[in-house]
Amino acid sequence: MSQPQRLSAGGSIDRSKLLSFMFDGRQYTGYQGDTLASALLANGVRLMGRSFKYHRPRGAIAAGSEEPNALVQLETGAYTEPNTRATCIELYDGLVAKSQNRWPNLEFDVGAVNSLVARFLPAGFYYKTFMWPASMWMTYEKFIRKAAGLGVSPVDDDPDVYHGTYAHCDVLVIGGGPAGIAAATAAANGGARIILLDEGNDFGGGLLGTSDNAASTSYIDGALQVLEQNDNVRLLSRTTATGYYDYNYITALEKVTDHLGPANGGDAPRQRFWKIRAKQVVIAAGSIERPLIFADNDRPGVMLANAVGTYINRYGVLPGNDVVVFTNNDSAYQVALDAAAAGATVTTVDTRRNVSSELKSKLEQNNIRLFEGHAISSVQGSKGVESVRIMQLSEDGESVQGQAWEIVCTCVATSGGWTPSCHMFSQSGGKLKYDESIAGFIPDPSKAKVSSPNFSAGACNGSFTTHACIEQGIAAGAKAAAAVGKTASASSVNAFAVSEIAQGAIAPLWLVPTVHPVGEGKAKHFHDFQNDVTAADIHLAAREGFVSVEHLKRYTTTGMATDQGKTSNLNALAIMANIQGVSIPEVGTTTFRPPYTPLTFGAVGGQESRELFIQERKTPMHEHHVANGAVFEDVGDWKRPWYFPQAGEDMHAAVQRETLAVRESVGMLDASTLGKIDIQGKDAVKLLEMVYTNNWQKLAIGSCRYGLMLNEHGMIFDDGVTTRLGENHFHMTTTTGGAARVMSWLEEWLQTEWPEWEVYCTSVTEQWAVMAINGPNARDLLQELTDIDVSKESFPFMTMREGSVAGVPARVYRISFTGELSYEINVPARYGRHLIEALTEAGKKYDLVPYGTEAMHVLRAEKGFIIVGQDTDGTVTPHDMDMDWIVSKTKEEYLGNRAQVRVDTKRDKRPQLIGLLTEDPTVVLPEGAHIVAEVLDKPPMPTIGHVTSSYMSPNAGRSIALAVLQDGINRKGETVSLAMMDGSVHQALVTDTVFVDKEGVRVRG
Amino acid sequence: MDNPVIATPLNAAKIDTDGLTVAELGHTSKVNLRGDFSSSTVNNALTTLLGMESTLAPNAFVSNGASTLFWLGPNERLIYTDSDPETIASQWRDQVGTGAVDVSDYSTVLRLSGPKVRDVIVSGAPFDVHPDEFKVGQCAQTRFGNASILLSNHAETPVFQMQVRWSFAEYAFEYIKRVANYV
Repeated sequence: MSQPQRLSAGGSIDRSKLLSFMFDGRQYTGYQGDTLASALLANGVRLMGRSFKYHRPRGAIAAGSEEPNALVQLETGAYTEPNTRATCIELYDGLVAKSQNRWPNLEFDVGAVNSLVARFLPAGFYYKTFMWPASMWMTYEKFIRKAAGLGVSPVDDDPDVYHGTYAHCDVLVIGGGPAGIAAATAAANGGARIILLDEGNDFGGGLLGTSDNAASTSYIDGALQVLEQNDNVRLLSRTTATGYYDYNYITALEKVTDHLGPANGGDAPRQRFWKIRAKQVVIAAGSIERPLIFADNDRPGVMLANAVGTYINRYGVLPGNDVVVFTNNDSAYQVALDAAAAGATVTTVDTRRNVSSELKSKLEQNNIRLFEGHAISSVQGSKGVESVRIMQLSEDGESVQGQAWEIVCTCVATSGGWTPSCHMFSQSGGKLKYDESIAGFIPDPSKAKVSSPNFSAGACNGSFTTHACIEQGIAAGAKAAAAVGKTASASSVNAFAVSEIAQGAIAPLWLVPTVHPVGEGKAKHFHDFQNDVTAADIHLAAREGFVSVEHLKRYTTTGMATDQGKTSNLNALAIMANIQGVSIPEVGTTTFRPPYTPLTFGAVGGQESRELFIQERKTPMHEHHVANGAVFEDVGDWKRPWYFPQAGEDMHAAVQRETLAVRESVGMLDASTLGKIDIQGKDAVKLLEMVYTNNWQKLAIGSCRYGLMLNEHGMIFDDGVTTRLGENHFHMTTTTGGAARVMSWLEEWLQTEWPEWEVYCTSVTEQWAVMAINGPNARDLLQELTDIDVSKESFPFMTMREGSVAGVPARVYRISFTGELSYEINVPARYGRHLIEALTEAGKKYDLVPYGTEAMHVLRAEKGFIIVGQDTDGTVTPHDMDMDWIVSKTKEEYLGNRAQVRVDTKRDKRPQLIGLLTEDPTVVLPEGAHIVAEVLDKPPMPTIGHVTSSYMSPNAGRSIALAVLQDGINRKGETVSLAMMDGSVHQALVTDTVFVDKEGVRVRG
Repeated sequence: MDNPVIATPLNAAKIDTDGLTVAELGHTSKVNLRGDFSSSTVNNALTTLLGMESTLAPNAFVSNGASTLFWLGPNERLIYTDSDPETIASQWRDQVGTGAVDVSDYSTVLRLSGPKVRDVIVSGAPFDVHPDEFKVGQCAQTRFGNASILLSNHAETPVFQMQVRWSFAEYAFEYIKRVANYV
């Protein structure tokens, strides 16, 4: 019979929509509205996975996101997702899932032998055993990971799309149960902007799992209708608040189309990541039931009492026909009644001896047996509960005694009380306090973080009745609205009566005794199901001296699994407190950290993936380069032409041709990406004097000068040419990658150290499209297009002239990074495309060649011009670069000045920039190659320098290299050895850094 | 020589989808102005050069048809103008003595309209664009994804403008196109 455990009526599932799905290769059916867990239970499947360490058979213990056991591998191929909680997977037609941690299959698992050798696998076992020898850890780790590990990550690209978005609101309400809905309603009445989110697909929280309660249901439905019609309210279902950060910044994951199954979401993103800034937050996150910790409490069929109630009431599934309710408080009695009403044979075992007569008579009316002052001492059945034995508890609760009763059952509904979900409050920076009356921690509003204002309401605040939840919700919503200057009217909330069984007086019994002392005998008392941690492990940790709760956590791994100890943390603390003979608050809590539940990286990345991961910045001439066959290189986040291969050319051939052409005729380079900063104001020259090492006072208007910038440590961090446009007006250029850094550097100094100076810096990087034309024919080419007098006399090297080029306004800078006669033509970006087309046309008769960054690198290296970031690495001074000529000897002060006299900056034998010529002129040294003091048989060899730039230079007719070498400037003329990775050694002559046109005639031509 | 083509980074690209219309405006002349905007010198210069007043609330913009003046900071304004930007910049420098830069080509302007506009913008901008918080006539410098933008609210229908740097224009445009499917 299909779905044997499905009740004939009831639940909020849609019985008209039969869905078929696969679990571990078998076909099952369920209904729309089921979760995977409820559908499996409906089919009588209790065994849903194996445990992490001992491979013990496990089933679902919960019906919500706190589930530690029922983790499945959902779907296959690129859509597969590991460690997915069956209790949170909404069933859809065609769903495919597989259990985890078993091999070869769930029923028979080889790894389960771990359970038999458990004595040899205590807590901390891996760390103790596999730490020695340290070199073997990498080997051990592979096997441990394989044996332990959870699900399997997909290897294919994620086929889904994700959306990230920011949102702002006056009041964010986390949790859409009775408290959250009441809070949102109260706050929304005054006009506040509200976001109400809940992880479930329906709002209602804990009420969804209770037997029908007309008063509260109609209240919730009515409130939701009003909220839905309010434009200032955003309702987000299937949305989990994952993290709570400073200043009320909350992230939340919305599962937009997961419930439809893979590739069924249409254009909608699979998930959406919300980044919410809320003025006020109401936390109404509910509470999580605690399991009682008894011998072999992990057998499939042992569940949290409220989960059993939820499966019955919400999903119309009876998890077992014979149910034992095992509790230390009153709340589980409702589950006993619900199970009996659903037709189960129910036995209630209460650790307390003082059950109220009212409850007793309710049980009697429903033929439910009650054992007071009793406890479950053992569980029979391994792949599922077959029966339990119960025994009387001693007065002190430390032992069991008397006759054992065996009760046949397939489901144990257990309740050890309720733990308020304080995760969000704790993440917001608030401190918790212990509440004896509920035996749990609750938020301490007096120790909240002022910068993250919030209010907790309802079960997460330790108030468990629906009535109290709604009252607290109203109050919290009103307070939050008032705090943002809105009035909230509580009158909108109707008074209503609700009948339910409250938790009553809880009698904590943190560890249920059995016939053996804990840790002896075969039985295990699990408190952390997902990480397989037992009460005995906590005893072991205590014996080994782990007193701090943080140490306990790391030693036993309790609370460290994907469920973050939602069902286990408090029990672990209580057992630890008991061992140490202190109170629970004295033990303290571990830190709650985001994310609340696991989330996908895809969602966090959102739309900023693939082409939108990082911007691809392009110049105004980009399309022209594309049309001319450019191969592009990433420089910073820019796309720059790297080289322009012609038919049949490889990169080497193209670069050699481009490099030669520049020195023989004329080449053109797109130099638009260089950073450009317009600097104005009467103190502009003072700023330049401070940020550059050389002198700027006397620079004539219309003249250009090269400058080097140092950081506070005296190290080179940028360079460029700056031109004086007017008395108090300069045009600064920076490296492409350093543009933003230099702008921030100038602003930081101006704003923090010299705020009284009148200097205005404006980025104009993209205002100008820049084409550099370089080579002997550059002047003739420019002449064709401009009204500027380009004669040597009226337009000398290192000056700027304004005029028109190709019919558009231009600034032409006669500066050079190639050592050739060069002009950098700047036109407003809107004319960039026009300029390059005009140059191309006019350049035909001069054999104008477009060249890319690689040829530019060769050309500048031929002249020994450094590239900041290639020949420098943040540890070199101007002196190291043999650039003393650019450091002023007369200036009182400039940034980096004082660092030049530090002992280390002045010491001998600092690495210094030199040229290298290999003995074999065809050898191009690899960049990064080490210059060694002594050639040995094998590394390590004493290194005295390394190659920073290295090329085949067609103009020098051989290979050339730049390198830094200890005391290099004094070593010119010496021969040094460079040891290669393959064991070969090259000899090279140390030279100066200029390889072509040493006299510098060409640039001034 | 032919009249040079006046290019914009997106060649007047458009998006026209359900609930969202985006268009790149044509070339717009822009000048960045610096100075003490409480001084009479600055006020006189604004009046004579642009026919505008210098009083402008923080994060607001005002237009007189020919020119639009945006508040960027206590000592910084931006104008969009029909006049010649170089002329305005040089006259500003002459009359006020503080900074003025032609930044016409530094950025381009996208005009966004339609009911999805706000959801599209907050997909990339950590800035509150709710009509109660960001009203018609207000502007703000924020970011959209990795792009620095100047955002301004032009009509309740709604109409927004997003000014974005030339080299980030394609990125921002593609970003808008992608998230338009998601909101």
